[in-house]
Amino acid sequence: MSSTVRRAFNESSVIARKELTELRRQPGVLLLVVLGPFVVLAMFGIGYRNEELALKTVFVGPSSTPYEAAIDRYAAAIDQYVVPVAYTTDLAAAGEDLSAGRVDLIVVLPPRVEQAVLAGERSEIAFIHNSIDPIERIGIDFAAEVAVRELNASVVTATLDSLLNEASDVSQVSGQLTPQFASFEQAIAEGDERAATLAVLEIQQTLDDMRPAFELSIASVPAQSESEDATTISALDELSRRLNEADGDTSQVELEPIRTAVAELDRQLAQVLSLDAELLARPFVGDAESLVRSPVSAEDHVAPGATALLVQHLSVSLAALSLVRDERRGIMAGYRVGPTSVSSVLAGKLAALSAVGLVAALLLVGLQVLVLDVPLRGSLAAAMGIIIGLVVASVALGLLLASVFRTELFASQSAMIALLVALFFSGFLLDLDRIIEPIRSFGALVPATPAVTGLRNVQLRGSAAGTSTAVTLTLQTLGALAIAGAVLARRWRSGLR
Amino acid sequence: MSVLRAENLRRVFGEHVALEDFSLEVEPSSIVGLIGPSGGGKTTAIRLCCGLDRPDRGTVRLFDRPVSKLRRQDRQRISLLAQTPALVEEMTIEQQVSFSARLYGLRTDGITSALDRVGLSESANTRISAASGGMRRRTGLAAALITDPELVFCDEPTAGLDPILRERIWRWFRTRRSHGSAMVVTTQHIEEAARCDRVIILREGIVIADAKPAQLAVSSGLAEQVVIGVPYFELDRSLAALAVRFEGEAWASGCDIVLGAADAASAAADASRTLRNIGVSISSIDTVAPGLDDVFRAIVEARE
Repeated sequence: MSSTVRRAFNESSVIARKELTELRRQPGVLLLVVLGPFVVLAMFGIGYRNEELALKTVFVGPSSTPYEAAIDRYAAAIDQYVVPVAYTTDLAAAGEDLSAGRVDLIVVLPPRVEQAVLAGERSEIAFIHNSIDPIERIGIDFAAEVAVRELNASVVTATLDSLLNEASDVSQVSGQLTPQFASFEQAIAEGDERAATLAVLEIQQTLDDMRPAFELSIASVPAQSESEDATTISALDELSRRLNEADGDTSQVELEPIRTAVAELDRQLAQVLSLDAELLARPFVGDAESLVRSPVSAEDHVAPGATALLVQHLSVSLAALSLVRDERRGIMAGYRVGPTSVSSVLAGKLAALSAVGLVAALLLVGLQVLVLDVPLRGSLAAAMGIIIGLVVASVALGLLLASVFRTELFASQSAMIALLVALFFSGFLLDLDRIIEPIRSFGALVPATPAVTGLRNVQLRGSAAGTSTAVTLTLQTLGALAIAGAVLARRWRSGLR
Repeated sequence: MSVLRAENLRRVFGEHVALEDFSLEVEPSSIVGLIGPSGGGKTTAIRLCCGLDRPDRGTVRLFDRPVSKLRRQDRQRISLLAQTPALVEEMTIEQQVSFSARLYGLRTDGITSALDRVGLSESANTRISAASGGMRRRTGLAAALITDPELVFCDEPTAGLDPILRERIWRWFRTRRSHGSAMVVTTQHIEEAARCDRVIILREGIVIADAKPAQLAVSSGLAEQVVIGVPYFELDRSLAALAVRFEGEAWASGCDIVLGAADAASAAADASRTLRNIGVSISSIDTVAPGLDDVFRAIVEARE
């Protein structure tokens, strides 16, 4: 080791020891630094209701309508989003309840739906709320959409029920075809032209009777393929065509193709009749499957991001206030007059404050995992890498801020601004994809941004050490840039080494 | 070769001229005193000379190098005791002095004697945060001087200290001077100027006097004084006679009468004759040089 490096190392270690002495003699600060963030997270974890937010809802509609019964009937289907508390005809009273916060939502149901439908119009259901929270507004809009879809699906179910009943009638009608064919065959066999002609007319009448309902049924049933629908309809058409072509000349009627077509119709009808209207109206069910191995609760999701933000804020504040305090006490002036270089001062502070920040961060994560049961599914080495990078980069950022803004007020406020940047641009609060470029890049200024994503991936997704390397490298780069900026700022300001 | 050479320094804060046309040359083994009222520019001059601040005009060279380009080994030869000592509140007095020594890459075996010199041996384990103002100042002094600097900047090192301790510290300064150190000391204690080799009086950022202490009285134009002792029952009659004779330049000071005069010897002879003529017996008669307080006041007032 050259004498210059050894001297720089000695200077840095003297300053690091001084920093540690300062902090060691303030146990209250250390306690606050370590336990404060944990207590905040613990209170959140204990107090947060990890359940869906169902809206207390008043339904307003005309009296003596089937709405009230329908709401009771469908309450179970929508109770994840809406909890019906009353049905009333008084919109003004419901409005007062909403203003007073006694209910969250008013649903105004339209009168005379049947007339509107018969007139070819859609009826509107109004959802009235009083929320100013944009996230809650999205929830209400979503709940309203789901409720309307459920209502529409109920109407479709009822309609399909009716259609299937008609199809059942069709089936009965089609059942008549078999004896009619038998009569026709017998008339042909006996050479009774008149009886054969009558049988053909009866068959045509039966087919005409069943056709509309049959077509409706076919249209309502989701076919396995378009060609199947076409085959069914063409079989019916073919049957009618052959009978019409005979035009009373029964000798022209070929029974075999007709039998085949009728058999196909019977098969189709049997399939239609086996279907459930409820299933037809709601043919799909959702089954969301996550690649994440275990479910992630709200507090689990918040914890890694909160750790990143808290560690950043505490490290930035510690570093910035330490440097500014030394400036105010005149200790920095002593360094500048004496042989100690700016680089040694900053390196000493970086080492000592990073060690303190690291202890606090590890205790915070440890308490989260052990006491609050927040998962750590990835490798411990990956988490450690990110935390070390986060702490060092944050301390470096604090030193930079204190080198630029040299009063305690500026230092504390700039640390707060760094926290706000992290809050809004790190992905902790809002999905980064919602923020346009180049504004989104603003988040790259603070170490919490890569750390939030990195810790979430490691703790919740269980990413391996390799995947966190990019995050760690980003943090190290940020730290290096910040410390270089701090050295330059101090040199530029003092005009010294 | 001078250890410090400052030429034509000017420093302005906003519209306030803190220092104007300040020049200073300090030789090894010398103590230069910067004296002046508060706001006179003493601290600004110190900060510029040790490189803590940059002048708007002028140059500062330490050990024949521009102050902004000093090498590490040059800075090792400098020490600063600021007006408010830069101390780490959470350290003990001993740790603070040891911290300063280690920053300069020095061994810490001289700490005990350094603390002893400033009378802090008994309080070595006292936390700085619990130390009195005087103890803090002495700790700062011990920390500044333990590095054995060749050039020391002391900004009011004896402020708030009792006379005995002030005397000890000045004795220590003189010892350091005898070992070759140069010192730039600011003070508001006028009598301490007499202990300096050279005194610069600053007022509102301007140098109004720059001389050896003995030369200051001459440059102030202040007269010597004649102090005459008379029986207390003759004081009023004697004062009346001398006031007439010396046209008002006579006043009572306790049981003595003081005369201001350009030529103290002839004034003393004249006063003796006058008092004998009216039958007053003189118990004592002395000539006294003006005090530095008077000199300082006279110089400052002369510039107003």
